[in-house]
Amino acid sequence: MTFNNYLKKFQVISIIDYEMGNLYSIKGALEFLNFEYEVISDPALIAKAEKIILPGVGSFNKAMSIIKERGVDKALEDSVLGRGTPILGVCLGMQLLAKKGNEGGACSGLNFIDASIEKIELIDKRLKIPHVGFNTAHYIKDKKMFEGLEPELDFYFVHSFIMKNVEKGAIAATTNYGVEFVSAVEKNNIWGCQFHPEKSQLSGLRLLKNFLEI
Amino acid sequence: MVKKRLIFTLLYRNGKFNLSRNFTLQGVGDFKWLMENYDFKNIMHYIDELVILNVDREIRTDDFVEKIKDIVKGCFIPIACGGGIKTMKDAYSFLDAGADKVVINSLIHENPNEVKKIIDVFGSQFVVGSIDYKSVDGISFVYTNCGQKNTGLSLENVIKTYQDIGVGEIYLTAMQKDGTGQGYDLDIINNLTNIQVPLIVSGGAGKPIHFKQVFDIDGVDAVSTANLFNFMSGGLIDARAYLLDNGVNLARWKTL
Repeated sequence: MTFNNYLKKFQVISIIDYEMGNLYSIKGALEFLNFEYEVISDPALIAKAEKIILPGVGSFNKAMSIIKERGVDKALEDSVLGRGTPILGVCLGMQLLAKKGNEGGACSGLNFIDASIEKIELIDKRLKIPHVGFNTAHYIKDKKMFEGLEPELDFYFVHSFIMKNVEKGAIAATTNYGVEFVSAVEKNNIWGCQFHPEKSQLSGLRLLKNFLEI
Repeated sequence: MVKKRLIFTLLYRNGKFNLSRNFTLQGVGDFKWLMENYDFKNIMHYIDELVILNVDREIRTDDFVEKIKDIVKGCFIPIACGGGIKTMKDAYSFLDAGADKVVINSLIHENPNEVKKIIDVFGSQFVVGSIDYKSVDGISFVYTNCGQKNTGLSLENVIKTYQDIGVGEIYLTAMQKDGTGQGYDLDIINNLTNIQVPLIVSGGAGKPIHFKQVFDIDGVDAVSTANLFNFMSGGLIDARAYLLDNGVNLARWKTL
């Protein structure tokens, strides 16, 4: 272990709790990987965080309304854009990184990634929404997120919306489900994955480790 | 495209994990036993999903929720839990313990409105509708309450009802094949029509080729086995390798 990695063992990972989905598996994964974590919702703490995981399942609009109401959006902005704190958005958490959502009316997101969130539109009527199950991530070259992972591995998805119109350079992986969609983004300190790494066996744990060690 | 799934089902009753044969249970060991003698943690790396069912016929022990938490810890795959769910609150308690989905059977017959409410709140992907059936002279009847009560309803009929209610998946168990190790109920599964949701087939697995036989049927998304002994230690690992070698489209992960 390098000295730098040794120091990283002492950082505390902040999991943001805004009451959207359970944190059980994310916490379990961090315990398994031997990283200290705290579950926080107080904007003052979020603004000071060293490394942030933004989880969540459910409605984009509902999540953003809670986040805005509590001032979590400003705190995240100070942290992520202001201080360059690494953030990993998972599932809904990735979607919230986008500029706007479009779930029964437009709604602004955290605007860390220039992109919009849209309902999956399928031509093949045999395919169902939500997209549920293990599916293959096709990685984009030179993204840190997939370091150490063999190409074309599978990750676990549960979602009805996808990130579209993603800004150039931010796409980290795509996945095919009737359409080819962006399944992961990585722009400097801003990372997001539509799939659940905490439900994706050792592949997911390795991805989390890659984030925890940046 | 979404991959096919190899599922393991744990049958829990009153502190112990069970073997089941034609729905007759035999307790084989507690959680510690499962971890120590079954190499459970390692096996978890070779299945796509874990189902944990409370199959207690009498009291629905509260400790089941605690047991879910124990099992889920260190388990990085989707988890579905069921057994004795009567209300939205029960479903929530499983979710809160770490389950990604719930498995519901009797309640769909007894109180379909409550099931609809659960689906409205948590989404269709959260609810797996389980069906247990027995066949007599080529006609399959559906049983509820851990296989104790014959509803008198045909399998086709119940499959339609489940989909009308909006379950996200169907978990189908052939009671007469359960625990026999002689293979799945291929005749019945081959003749199922009008299933629009993912289908999980259970009951009868004894060796890897049995999984392959079911995966070869159009419309089957997943196979499940609850047979602790047939797939002890390396059994599931070998089964997964066999299925991948034989062209079954299972997920591929980073290996140990």
